[in-house]
Amino acid sequence: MKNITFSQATLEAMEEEMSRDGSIYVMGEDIARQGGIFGQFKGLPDKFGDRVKDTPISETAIIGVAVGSALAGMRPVADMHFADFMGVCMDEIFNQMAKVHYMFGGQKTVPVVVRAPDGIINQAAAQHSQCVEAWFAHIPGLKVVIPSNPADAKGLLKSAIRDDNPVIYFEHKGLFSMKGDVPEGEHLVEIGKARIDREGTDLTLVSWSMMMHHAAKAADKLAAEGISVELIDLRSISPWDKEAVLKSVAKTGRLCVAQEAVKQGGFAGEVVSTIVEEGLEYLDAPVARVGAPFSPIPFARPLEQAYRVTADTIYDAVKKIL
Amino acid sequence: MATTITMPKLGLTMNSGSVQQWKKKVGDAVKKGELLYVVATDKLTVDVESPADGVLLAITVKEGEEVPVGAPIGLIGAQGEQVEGQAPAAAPVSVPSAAPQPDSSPLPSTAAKQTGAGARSCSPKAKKLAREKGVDLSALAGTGPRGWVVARDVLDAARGVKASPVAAKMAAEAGIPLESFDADKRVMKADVQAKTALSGVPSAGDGDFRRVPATAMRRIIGERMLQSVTTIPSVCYYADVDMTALNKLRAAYNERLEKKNAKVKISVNDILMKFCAKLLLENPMVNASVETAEGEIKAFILHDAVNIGFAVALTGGLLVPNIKNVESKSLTKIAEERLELVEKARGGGLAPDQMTGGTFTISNLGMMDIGAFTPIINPPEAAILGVGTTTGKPVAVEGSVVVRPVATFCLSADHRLVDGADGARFLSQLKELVENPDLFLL
Amino acid sequence: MEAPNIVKISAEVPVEEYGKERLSSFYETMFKIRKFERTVEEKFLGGEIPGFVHLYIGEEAVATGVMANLTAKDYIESTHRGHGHTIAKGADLNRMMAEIYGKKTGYCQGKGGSMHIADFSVGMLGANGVVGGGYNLAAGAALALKLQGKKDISVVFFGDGASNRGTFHEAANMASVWKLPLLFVCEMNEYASTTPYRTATSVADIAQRAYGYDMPAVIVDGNDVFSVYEGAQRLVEHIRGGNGPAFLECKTYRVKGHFVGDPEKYRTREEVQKNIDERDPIMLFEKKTAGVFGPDELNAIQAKVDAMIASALKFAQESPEPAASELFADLYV
Repeated sequence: MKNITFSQATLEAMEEEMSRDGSIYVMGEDIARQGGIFGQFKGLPDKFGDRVKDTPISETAIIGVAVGSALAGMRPVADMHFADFMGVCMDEIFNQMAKVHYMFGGQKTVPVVVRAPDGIINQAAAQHSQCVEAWFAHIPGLKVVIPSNPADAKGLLKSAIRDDNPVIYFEHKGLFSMKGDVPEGEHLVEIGKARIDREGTDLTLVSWSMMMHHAAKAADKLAAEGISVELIDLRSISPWDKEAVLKSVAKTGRLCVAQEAVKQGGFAGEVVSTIVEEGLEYLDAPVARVGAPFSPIPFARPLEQAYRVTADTIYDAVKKIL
Repeated sequence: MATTITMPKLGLTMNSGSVQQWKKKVGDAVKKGELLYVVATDKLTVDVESPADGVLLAITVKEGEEVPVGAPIGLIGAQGEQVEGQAPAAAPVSVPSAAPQPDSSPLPSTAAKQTGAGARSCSPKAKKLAREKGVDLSALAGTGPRGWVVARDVLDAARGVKASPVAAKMAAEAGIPLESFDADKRVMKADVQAKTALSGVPSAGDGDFRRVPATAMRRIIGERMLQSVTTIPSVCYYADVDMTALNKLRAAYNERLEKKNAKVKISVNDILMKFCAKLLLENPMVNASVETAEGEIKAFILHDAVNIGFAVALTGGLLVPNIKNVESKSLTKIAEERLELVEKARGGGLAPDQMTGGTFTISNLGMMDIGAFTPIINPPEAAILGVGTTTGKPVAVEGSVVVRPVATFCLSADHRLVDGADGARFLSQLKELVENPDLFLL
Repeated sequence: MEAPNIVKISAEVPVEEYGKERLSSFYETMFKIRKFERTVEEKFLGGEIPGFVHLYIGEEAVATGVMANLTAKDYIESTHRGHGHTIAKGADLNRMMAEIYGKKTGYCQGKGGSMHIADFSVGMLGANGVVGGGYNLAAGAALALKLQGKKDISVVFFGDGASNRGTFHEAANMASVWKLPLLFVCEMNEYASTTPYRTATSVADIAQRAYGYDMPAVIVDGNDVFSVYEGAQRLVEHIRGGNGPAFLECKTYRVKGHFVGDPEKYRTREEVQKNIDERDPIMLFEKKTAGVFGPDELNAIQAKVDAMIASALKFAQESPEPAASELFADLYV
């Protein structure tokens, strides 16, 4: 084990994979000369030269070019700068990238990884703070992964790069500087497999990405009151590990799902509906969904704070179903 | 005819309280004896059962809003019943909480749905269990969230133990299986309270450790101790006190009482209480509380009465009942009350007001062979006296060393009220009084 | 406004110098597209072909002339009106027709249909149902070729309507900045769906836009296969020389409606007939090559093509439909 930041973990994944396979290249805005606005690409151009490309501010071209080059044998990694900008290139993502393999009858795979830094950090306001993972979980043909810690960040990025399907890789901006233990040597995390963060008997709490850390705090607080929470980190939301959640709810009888994104239409709703559909008889209480209010993300500190989902929000939601 | 729910008086000293949490929403069906709301006083929180069957027609105080004892806080009546000054339950009156949330809007009345035979709010798991175990759901009272019948209700019913909903919920929270109660009579809240007070209820052994769920008592102890050490800047004062005179006095009193065939004996603690009561009235800031608002000190409450608490150790915890108006009671009266309170504490029969309203506490670990210890202040009191074991120690008396029975006293005092010199003065006055009891009458 | 990057050219090489083989190949390709599209139109109107179809009739010279400069290793990105490009790139007629019929034996096993045909084995990276959806994919393929150190090129076909998509501008800029081997081929066929060219487009010649991206551009008569061939040849050479992208504008005319069944309220019958009578690319070819081919020779090519199309139709009609159980096949690898 070594203790490194989330950002360093992604960098290691890139270095290892790019060294292993010459068809992998990475492009995006501000990544080669600048090293990425969060430092997550620092040093890569020195090792891989022209395989690390600064692009024009052309998100549409970035994704379109990534897809086209994949069709011609490359394995691109495209950086979106901020997940919020994915709206710019949505056609390239959901009409082109997601569909090529299926629509053309499996003639060609599209091994593209789209890296999308998301989430609230330091009052970045309405267009630089969003969590939009649910949009992409709604698109057949894409895989969506969303790690919460350095080990998963590395393992999932390596798996995403090796995957022959297009993968959206959400990396929370607030996590980049977070440190954690990462196994030495080759470390892969299977896409679609959840991680049981802690075992418990009274309630299943499901989360992902940054919200996992708030969920863990809520679970600590509940544990101090004698409530034993089973905390599950989904890590992938498409495909997602519904068996793990069903199994857990069968044990605990209670379910709370917490996300940073706006609650309405969020992925928590998918988790909850699936459990209600397939595991209703396991439930011994109403289910709880925790998410942000139905509003754009405001700028001013008190407004942003009122908007944020925190450990207390989760704690309160859980208390209501105990 | 609707029943008005009023703020209950939960003990002699309670003047006002607030509803910490309503367990039902306006429009919900409620049953007499079902947990309806939680009252918070400045001392404790108490689960309160519904006084009547019917539908919760109105809630007239917000959660957290303080109202005097006896003030109306809600209304229970028949579905659709028109009440003077209140809209019918079909358009429920509900005091909005601070920030209206779309999902906290009242659900359609569950009472309406419950008119069908056996139809009631049950968890899917409870329904499945009820089918499997042949339990009639319509006969069960729900202890789950929103008053749902949950799995534990069905399991308890299947075991044949009957319990009031509040009792069942408390037992579940404390981890006490209902079958551990006497199956002949309905388990009530008091039964569970008695049991939580009596046992720590360990769970089944598992691996290298045992996980013991926290009882309600342990939770409260934890909360209060944490509150004390995190919010009170306390200072500890130590003094070695020669107990010769006090022991002599006590022996004399008890000899007299024995001759009179009195039922009680005076303890060291009884005498210390009496001495402290005198000194506390002379040092009002030690018999006081801090009044704060949003963390800011607003005032000091100087108590005219001296109500002294003392710890009663129980398996799995302790309770601190207090003797009221110690300053005006005789030693025998103090001893009698002490005995009664200890008995009640052990039997789970203490009334809330016997545990609240204290102004000072004496914690005596003399019988435990302990040298000295630093007691933690019992909020909202200003100070606590810890008394260690009396042992023979060399003491200088008139220039020569003699061995005397000596105990180490420790006073922990809240520096917001009691400055160093004041705390030191109180303890040295106490030492002086214990060593020279005849000064009491001065 | 004349942009300094634009050259307007007409075929200069005498027809005879093309050689009979190449001329036959031009004719066969154009006729194959024409015949294929007429069959699709007939079978669509007859209710045999589902969905909806966009025909390439009248524009055959563009695909034929451009593709004659490419090999199977070069890539193309096509459009919703993509049958002609696909045929000219060398795709199999049976599998194309079967796909249009929604059959299991089609290129996409019935998953794509008329607007989503691809044949990666001949470098045809796919038709695209989104107007302007191909530019960046073609630019990506061009980037791959450059990174792989290959001399092959990538070509994107698009119409005048698609030239107004932002995708064009992002792709053109990036291709130019990175000097990608990419040929933009604009099929200026006068109508963006139902909207006449000048009512929706700011420039007289779309090639003017190439100037903004520092690309050389050539404008040709898109109905003259020789002009298209020679214009494309000049630009393909420029691109293969490592000089970055280039732009070919082919002035053509969409003889058929936007889709089969289009009521065509936006133009007159006379306008269409005039173009058919005066500018039909097959007619123009026959005129230009009158001294090279005897009538029997072209008839022989026609007969050969008729047989191929008949066989493709039969193959498509007789092929099985995909089983419902194949719904999820190829969703993920």
